[in-house]
Amino acid sequence: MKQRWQRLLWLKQDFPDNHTDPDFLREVSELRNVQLNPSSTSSYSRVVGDFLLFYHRALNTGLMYITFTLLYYYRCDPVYITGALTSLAFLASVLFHRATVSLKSPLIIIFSMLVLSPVLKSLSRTTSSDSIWTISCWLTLFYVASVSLQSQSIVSTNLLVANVAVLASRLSSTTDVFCFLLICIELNVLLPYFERSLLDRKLFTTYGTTFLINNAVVYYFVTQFLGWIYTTVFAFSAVTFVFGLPRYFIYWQKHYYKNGPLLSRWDARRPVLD
Amino acid sequence: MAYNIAMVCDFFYPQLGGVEFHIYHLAQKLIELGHSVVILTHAYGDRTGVRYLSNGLKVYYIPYAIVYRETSFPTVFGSFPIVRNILVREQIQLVHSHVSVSSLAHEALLHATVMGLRTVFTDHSLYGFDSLGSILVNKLLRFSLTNVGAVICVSNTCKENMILRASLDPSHVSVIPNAVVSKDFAPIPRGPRKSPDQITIVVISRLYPNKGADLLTHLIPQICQLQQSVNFVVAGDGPKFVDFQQMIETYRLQDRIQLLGAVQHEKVRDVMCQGDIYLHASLTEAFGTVLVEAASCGLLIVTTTVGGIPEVLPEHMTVFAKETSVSSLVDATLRAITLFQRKKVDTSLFHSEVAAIYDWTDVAERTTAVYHRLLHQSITEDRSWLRLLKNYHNRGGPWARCLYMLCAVVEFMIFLLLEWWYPRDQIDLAVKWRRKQE
Repeated sequence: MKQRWQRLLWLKQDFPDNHTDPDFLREVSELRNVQLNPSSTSSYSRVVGDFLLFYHRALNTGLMYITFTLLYYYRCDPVYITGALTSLAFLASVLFHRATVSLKSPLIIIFSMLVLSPVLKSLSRTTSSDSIWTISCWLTLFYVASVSLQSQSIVSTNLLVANVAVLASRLSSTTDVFCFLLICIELNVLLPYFERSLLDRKLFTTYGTTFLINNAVVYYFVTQFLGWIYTTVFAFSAVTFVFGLPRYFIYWQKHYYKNGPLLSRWDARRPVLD
Repeated sequence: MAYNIAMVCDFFYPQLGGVEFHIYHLAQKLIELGHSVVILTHAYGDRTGVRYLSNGLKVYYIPYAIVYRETSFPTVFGSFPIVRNILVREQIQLVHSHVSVSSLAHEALLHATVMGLRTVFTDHSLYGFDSLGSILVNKLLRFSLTNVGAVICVSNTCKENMILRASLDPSHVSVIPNAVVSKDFAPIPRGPRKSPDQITIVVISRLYPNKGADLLTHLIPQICQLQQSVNFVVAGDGPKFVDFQQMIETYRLQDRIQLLGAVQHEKVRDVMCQGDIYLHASLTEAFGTVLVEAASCGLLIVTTTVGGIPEVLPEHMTVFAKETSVSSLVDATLRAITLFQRKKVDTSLFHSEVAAIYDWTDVAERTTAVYHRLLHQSITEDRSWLRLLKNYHNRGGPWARCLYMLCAVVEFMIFLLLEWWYPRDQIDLAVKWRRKQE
């Protein structure tokens, strides 16, 4: 009768050096079972929904660049657009909340922007345009990231205003700067807020309509400014992002295994200083 | 049967440490058994080129850029020309790499596999699974151990860690512990104890958080308060050294604690011999060579039970603290002190017992058995490049496998290029060190 194997190095045992603890082999096969039968994952449609929200937010950011292009390259008169958008925002807030809107804070913001416009216009005039585009590009990336990471934080609004301030110095008149500032805030702060409240009230048809309009506007202008090839590339990337990436996300969720008792056995122990 | 063996590791003399001594002693004993051993490492300062250590142990110090803590810059293919040259020159049959954070060791495994040589890998430490660093090391290990012949680990805990990290077949992994040179760790012969009540506790450890430095700074004052007849000797340096100084000053223990700082390796035995109890508070440990050294010096061991420590020493030499907590360690230390005070422990036989258990000749013989098995099974095994490539394909996830195969194919191409550019028959063969006729 052979003696039972003991987990000791100092004992000379009648087993080969490559003998493996049978208990360990059993634990490993249990671990493999757990890993092969992964725990439940999020439903595909929900993940697509979340990705769609992010995509929508990126589209809203795109609207800012469309406005800028219209003002900077095409020299459109911004007064009418601004007037129309502001009245629309006012109307929507009145109709939607069915309540009296406090006029005080919007007025303060509008007037302070009006005062600041000449300053913003000349703030970074001496910087070359290439630097401005680069800074704006990074600010936009940070803005999109901050919006998706911490939507409640003020950081995203600050980044948005910084981006607008950087771009504003390229515009030709104080009116342009003021209108650009106002439009950007309406499109990137009020519009997403409005859309979110639509979702909260489960007005999915209305939300869907605004989403489609948003898409239509962005892709129309992209086609106008850059041509069909860019539109196709953007649309294709968007479809891949919204419908393809969630599959990949779920793949990882399925194969993600953390804090198994076996796998944490070799971690350095925590010192208990009692 | 004598083999030509190349040991590869980034860490070797003049740097001193557990791994370096392991490679050195193993190589010496293999030479004693009649094998030929060369060591490949990166250059240390002006120590470049070929050097000889005792008994004709030839060391190649290859000039490489160092990236972090004596690890050479990982290039995957960059070391191929020189490593191939050395392996051909020395007529190597078997490449034995050490340590999973040594890039040179991984690269040598890859090159040797493509050149059709047999490979062995030894790991000396434990890694987790959920930190970024360990995930990267584990991925790398999975790649370089795809076609490895055999793996050696220093303890069963280390082996099990290794099996999961690199998803290896358990039967390919052998456990061969470290050893000590017992004559270097002999106790000071002493008559009856001069004052039986006076007990000295020794701590020798790098003073890092993962070695339990925080536990020590909390537990030493408690022991000093509870036992007036106990003194401490603390040797070692590290980022927590200041904490020890502060602890001594806060509790006014200047008379009771000797803080020695870094101690040269050859002085470790002298420090150990000043004490009666060795205290080890490490939070992670694959083997714990220092415990064996301390026991060999005739000290009673008080230790935590992390990693491979419970496997290392017989029960009568150790007092275990069940948890890595201050209270548990204080409890264990007090138990050890009581054992001494009541004369219930006899440490005089520890030295001979440890010498019988942990001997480098035994380690070398067991390692040779691994080599032997490997070189004899190789006749039947399919080791064509296509087979190797298939192994890489079956290894990783969807992305990793593509990367693995790409690396393998590039390696094949570089091998063919080198065979054409610098043919084997133009490489001079090195003259082997002539063995003393006995």
